[in-house]
Amino acid sequence: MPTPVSISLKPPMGGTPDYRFSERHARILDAFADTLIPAGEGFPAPSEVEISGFIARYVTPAGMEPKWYPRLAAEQIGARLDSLADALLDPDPRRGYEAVRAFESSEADAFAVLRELVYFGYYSHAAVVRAINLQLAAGQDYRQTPQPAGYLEGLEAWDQESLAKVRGTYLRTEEVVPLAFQPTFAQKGLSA
Amino acid sequence: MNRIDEADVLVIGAGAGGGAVAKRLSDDGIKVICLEQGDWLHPMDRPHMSREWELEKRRAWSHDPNVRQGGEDYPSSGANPPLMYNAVGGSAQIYAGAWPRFKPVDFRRGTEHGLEGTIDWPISYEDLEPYYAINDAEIGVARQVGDPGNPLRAEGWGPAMAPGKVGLRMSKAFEKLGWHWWPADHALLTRPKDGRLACNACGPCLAGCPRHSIATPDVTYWPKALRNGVDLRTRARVQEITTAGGKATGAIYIDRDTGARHQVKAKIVVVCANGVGTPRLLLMSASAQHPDGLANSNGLVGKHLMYHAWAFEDFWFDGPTEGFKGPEAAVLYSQEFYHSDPSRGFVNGFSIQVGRSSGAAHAALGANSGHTAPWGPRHREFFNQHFGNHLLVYIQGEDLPVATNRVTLDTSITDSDGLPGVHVNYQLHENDQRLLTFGRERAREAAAASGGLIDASSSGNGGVDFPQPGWHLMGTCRMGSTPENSTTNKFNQTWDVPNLFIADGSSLPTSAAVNPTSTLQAVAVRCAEYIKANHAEILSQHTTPVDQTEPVG
Repeated sequence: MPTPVSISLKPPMGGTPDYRFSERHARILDAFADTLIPAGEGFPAPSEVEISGFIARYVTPAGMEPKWYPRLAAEQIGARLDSLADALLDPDPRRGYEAVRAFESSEADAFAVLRELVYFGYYSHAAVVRAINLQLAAGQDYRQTPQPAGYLEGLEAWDQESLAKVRGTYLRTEEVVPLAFQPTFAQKGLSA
Repeated sequence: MNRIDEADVLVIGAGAGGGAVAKRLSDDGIKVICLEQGDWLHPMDRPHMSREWELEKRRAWSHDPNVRQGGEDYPSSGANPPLMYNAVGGSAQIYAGAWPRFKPVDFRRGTEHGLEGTIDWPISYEDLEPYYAINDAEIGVARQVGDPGNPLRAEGWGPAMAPGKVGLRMSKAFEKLGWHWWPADHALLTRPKDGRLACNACGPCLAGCPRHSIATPDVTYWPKALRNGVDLRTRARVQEITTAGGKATGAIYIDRDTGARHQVKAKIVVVCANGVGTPRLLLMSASAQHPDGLANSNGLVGKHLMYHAWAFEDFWFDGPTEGFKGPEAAVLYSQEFYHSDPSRGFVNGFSIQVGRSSGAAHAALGANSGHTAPWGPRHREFFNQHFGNHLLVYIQGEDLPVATNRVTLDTSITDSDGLPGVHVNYQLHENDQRLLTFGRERAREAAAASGGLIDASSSGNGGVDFPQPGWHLMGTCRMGSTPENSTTNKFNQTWDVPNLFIADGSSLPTSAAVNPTSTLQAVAVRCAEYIKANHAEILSQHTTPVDQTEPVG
C-alpha cells in the first residue's frame, strides 16, 4: 500500500478538544464576554453559558499552525488575555469596559475575531435559544439547530388573489433590436 | 505512467455540467470515465444538526477555497477570490438551488448594445428551451407556473416553496408598487423523489442539504450515471489534457491518495471544471502545438469572467418576519427592471430577489451587510429589535463581459499536488456600478412600501462578504458564432480542437441577471445530446463546424 501524499484535511466540525484555557484565562475571557453581552431581560450572561469552553475549541494549540478560521493561536490569545487581565478582573466594571473599548480601537481586526467568537458561542447555546423563544415575539419558534425539525410547519402559503394580479411581459427573441431602435417598455405601456 | 485506461468520452469534473453530460451520454451506452479531484460528501458532513452551524459556514463550509484549504482545492490570488466547491456535485454543493432561466433577450445582448465584450449567444432561448425542460425533469424542481414576465414553463415536480411572512410581506409591497413579481423556481423538492426527502424549510442551504432535497448532481445525475456504468474516479486531479495531431487524446491525472500519475485515453474530452477551473486546466495544458494553452489560439481562454453585479440590502421591520424559516434561496423575485433602458444611465438590467435571514449569530453579526450588534449596554436592545424582524433584498445585476476580468495561472501558489493556482482579476465595470446604485434605490423603495421599516443596511456595490461583488463563475471559455469571438462553437466544441468540448459556466457568453446553474446545466445537456447524435462525425472532423442541426427539436 503506497503512502498517501495528499490527505484531505478539513477543519473538524465543532473545533477540537485539544486546548483548554487556564482557570485564570477562562475568568478573564468570561469577563470580556460578559462586557460584550451584559446579562438581562431574561438573557443569561455569556459566563453562565460556558463561553470560554466554546471558544477554547477553536483555539489552535501551541506548536500547530492556525490554519482555519478563526486562526487563533494559543500564544496569541493567551497574551491578549494577560494584557486585559487587570482591567477585566477589577471589581469596578467600568475599568473592564474602557479596556475593551481601547482594545477595539487599537486593534480592530483582532477585536472583531474575538467578538465574533463570543457572538457565535453565546447565540448557539441552548439556554440563550430558550431565552429567544421566551422573550422575543419573533423568536418563539427558533431552534438551536436547523435540522432535523426544520420550519415547514405553519409556514404561510401564497396569496392566490395576489398571484392573479401579477402583470408583466418580456421581449421575445425576434423583438430584440439595437437599443437605439427599441421602444422602451414605458413607451409600449407595459410593465417588465 | 502507472495505469492507462480507455473511454469513449472523458469528462473532467463531476459538478453540474459534468454530472449532466456523463449521465446523458451513458444513457446511450457510451463508455464514460469521469475524473473529479474532490470527494463524495456524506449528509453527516453537513453542519445542520450541529450547534456550531453558523460558525462552520465560515470554516469547513466557507465558499472560499483559500479559507477551507482542503486537499482537493486549489488556491487563488487577487482581490476577489472565486467561490467554489470541489467535490462530486461541484459548487452546487454550496448553492441554494435558485432555478431561474435566462430570458430570450439575454441571448441577444450583442445585438441590443454590444458593449465591452458583449456578444450574442450563438443560440436562442427557443433553441435551449427543450434542454431546460429535459434537465428540470431529470432533477425535480419546485415551481409556480404562470409568470407573465417569462416564457411559459412546464409544471415542476412539486409546487413552489411556501413564502412565509417574508415572501408575503414583499409580494404585497411589489403589488402595491405595481411592479412585476413571481414566486421563485427552486431546484429542490417540495415532494419526495428517488429516495430524496422533501425540503422542510430548515434554512442554511448554502452549507448544502443533508436531506438531499436540493438538486445537487451527486443525488440527481450521479446515481443514474453510475447505474449506467460510468467510471467516476474521485480524488483524481487532472494535470493536463493530452493532444496529438490536432486532437485531444485524453488526460493525465494524479491520484491524490498516492501521488501516482495515470492516463485516460479518450476519443472525446469534455471539460466541466467550472468557470475558473476550466481555463486553469486549458492553460496548464500548454504544449509545443498549443503554446498559449489548449483551445487558446485566439487568446480568449480565461477572459470575460463574469461574477454578476450584486448588492445585499438588509431591512428590519417593526414586527416578526421569522426570516430564519425557509430555504436560503430567494423566495420571490421582481424583474420589473430587467430590460435595458438607457435613460437610466446603464444598459442591461437586474432582478430584485427577496431572501430570508439566517440564525441568531448571523443577526448579531450584522446579517449580510455588516450591521453588527453593538457590544456593551446597547447590545440587548439592538439584538431584540433586529432578530426575527429581518429580510434580505438582493440586487442581482447582469455584468458586462470585460476582457480584463480574467483568469490566469499563478505559479507562485500551488495546490497540494504542486500544480499552479490561479490569479483572478475582477472589477465591476462603471456601467454595472450605475446599475447597482439604481437597483439599490429600488430595493429600498420596495422595502419601504411593505410598511413598518425601522432599520436598513447595505453591502454597497459589493455583494457577499463585501467588498466581494458576485461569485458566479461565467464566460471564460464562451460559446460563440465565430472562431474570432469565442472559444467554442454553439455545441460547446472548441474551435481549435474538434473533439474537445467545454460545458460549464465558462460556456455562457453573457451572465443575464439571474442565477446561472439551470442554464449551464441545460447547455451541458444539449452538448451531450449533440455528442450522442454526432459521435462518429465528430471523430472524423479536423475542423470545428460553425453550424450544425439541433439534436432535439
